[in-house]
Amino acid sequence: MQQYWFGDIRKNESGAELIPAPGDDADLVARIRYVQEKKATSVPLTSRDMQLVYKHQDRSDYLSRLRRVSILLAREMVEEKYKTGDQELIHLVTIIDELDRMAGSLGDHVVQWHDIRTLTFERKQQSRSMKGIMEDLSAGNDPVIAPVAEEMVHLYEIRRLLSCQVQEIAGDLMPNTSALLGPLVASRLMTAAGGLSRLAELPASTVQVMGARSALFSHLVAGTPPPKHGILYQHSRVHRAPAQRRGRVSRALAAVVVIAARIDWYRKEKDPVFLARAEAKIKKAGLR
Amino acid sequence: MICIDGTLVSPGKPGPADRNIQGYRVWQPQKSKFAALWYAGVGRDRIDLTKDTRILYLGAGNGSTASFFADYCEVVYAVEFAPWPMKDLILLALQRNNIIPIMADARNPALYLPVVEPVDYLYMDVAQPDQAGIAIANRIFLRDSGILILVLKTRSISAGDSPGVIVERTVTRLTGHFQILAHRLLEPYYPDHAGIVCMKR
Repeated sequence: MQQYWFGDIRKNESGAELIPAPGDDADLVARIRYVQEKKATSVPLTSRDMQLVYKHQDRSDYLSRLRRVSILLAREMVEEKYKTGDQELIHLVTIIDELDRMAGSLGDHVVQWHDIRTLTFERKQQSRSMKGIMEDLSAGNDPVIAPVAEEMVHLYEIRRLLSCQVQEIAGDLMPNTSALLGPLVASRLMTAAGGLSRLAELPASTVQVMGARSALFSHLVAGTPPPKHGILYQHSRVHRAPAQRRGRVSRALAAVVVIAARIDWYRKEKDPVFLARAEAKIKKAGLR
Repeated sequence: MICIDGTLVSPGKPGPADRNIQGYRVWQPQKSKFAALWYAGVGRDRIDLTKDTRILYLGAGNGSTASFFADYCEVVYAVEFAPWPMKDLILLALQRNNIIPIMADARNPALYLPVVEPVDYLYMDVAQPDQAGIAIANRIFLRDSGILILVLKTRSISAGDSPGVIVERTVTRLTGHFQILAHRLLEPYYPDHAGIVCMKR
C-alpha cells in the first residue's frame, strides 16, 4: 500500500484501488506529516494512479484542494521553524554586530570632531575607552557635542539590553555551547551556521574556520596558508594562546563545540560531566 | 513561449513591479535565471511551457520565477526549504490558484513523494554542492521523456575549479540518467552559473 495526500492506493492481482482519506483540510495536513515521518510512501505517483484519483474528483478539485492543504502545511512548518528560538537569536546577534560596527565608526567621528573643536597639544585623551569619553562628553556643556555623545551613551545602553537578551535566549537554547564559548560567541557561531540544527550537523573542521571565509577561500583558490580560526578566535583561550599553539587550541575547541551543539540540539539540556571534560581538553591543547 | 519583438514575456497580468509590453509581463533575464537561460538559447527548441504544463521547481525561493511559471503553466510544485522565502512563497500561492508550496529539502525527495504528481518539467535552482545528485534523485517525478532544466550554481560546488570544468563534470554525472540536450554558461547575466537541459531517459 502506498499513502498519498489524498488517500491510500492498494494494488492487488485484480488491479489498483484508491481509498480516499477522510476528514477536512487540517486532517489531510496531519496525514501528510504522518506519512512523511513514517516514510510510508516509497513510490511516486504515476499517471495511472492519477486516473484512479479522477474517478473520485475532477482535476480542478484535486488541484484546488491540494493547494489549500499545501498552503496550510507550509504555514504550519514555517511557524514551527520560527518557534525554536534560534532564528530569533540570529537576528539579535546580527543587530548587536551591526550596532557595534555603527557605534564604533560613529564614535570615532564624534571623538575626532571633539578633538578638532577643542584642539590641544597635550597627551591626555589617549588610551581612554570610547565609552568613557562619550560619558564625559555627554556630561559636558557643549551644546552640540553633548547631545550627540548622549545618544552614543544611549546606544551603549541598548547594546547592554540586547546582550542580556542574547545571554538569556542562548543560555536556554544552547546551554552547553554557551557554557564553553560564552553566550555571544556561541550565538555568533550558530548564526554563521544558519541555525542550531545546522550547527549540530557540521563537522568540527568547518566550525574551526567558520567566519574566516576570505582566508579560507584564498587558501583554496590561491594556496595561501589555511586559516587557523574564525569566530572561535573570539574565545579567550584561543586569542590568549601563544601564536604557535593557537591553531591547536582552536582545533580542540572546535572539536568539543560541535559535540556541545549536538547535545544542545538533540538532548536540550546542560551536561556538566561533558563540560568538565571538554574544558580539560581545551586546557590541555594550550599546554605544551 | 511568448515572445514579442525578441522580448520574452508571460501571459500573466503585469503587477506594479513588472515591465509591461502590450499587456504582457516582461520576463527579465536580470531577474530570473529561466529567462537568462532562454535568452542564452539553451535547449530553447525543447522548452515550451503551455497551459497543460506541470512543473516541479526545486529551490523556488521567494517565488519570482515561480510566478512566471504560474502564468504559463497548469500547476507549479514549488519546493523551498528556507522559512523566510517560504513566507513570501505562501503569500504568492494565496494570490495564485496554481502554485503548490512545499517546504522541504530537495535533497530528500521522499518528503514530497506523497504530494507531487508526474511532471513535464523539473526546474532546479538550488545552491547545493551535489546538484547533479539532487537532479538524479528527483528524476522519479519526471514523466517519460520529461525535461530537466538545471541551473547549475558552480560556486556552490567548488570555489576553486573553473565553471567550465564543473559543468563538464556535472554533465558526465547526469549522462546515464538523462540525455543531455544542451548546456551553456549563463553569462553575462549570471556569472558562474550554467544552464543544462536534459531529457529523461
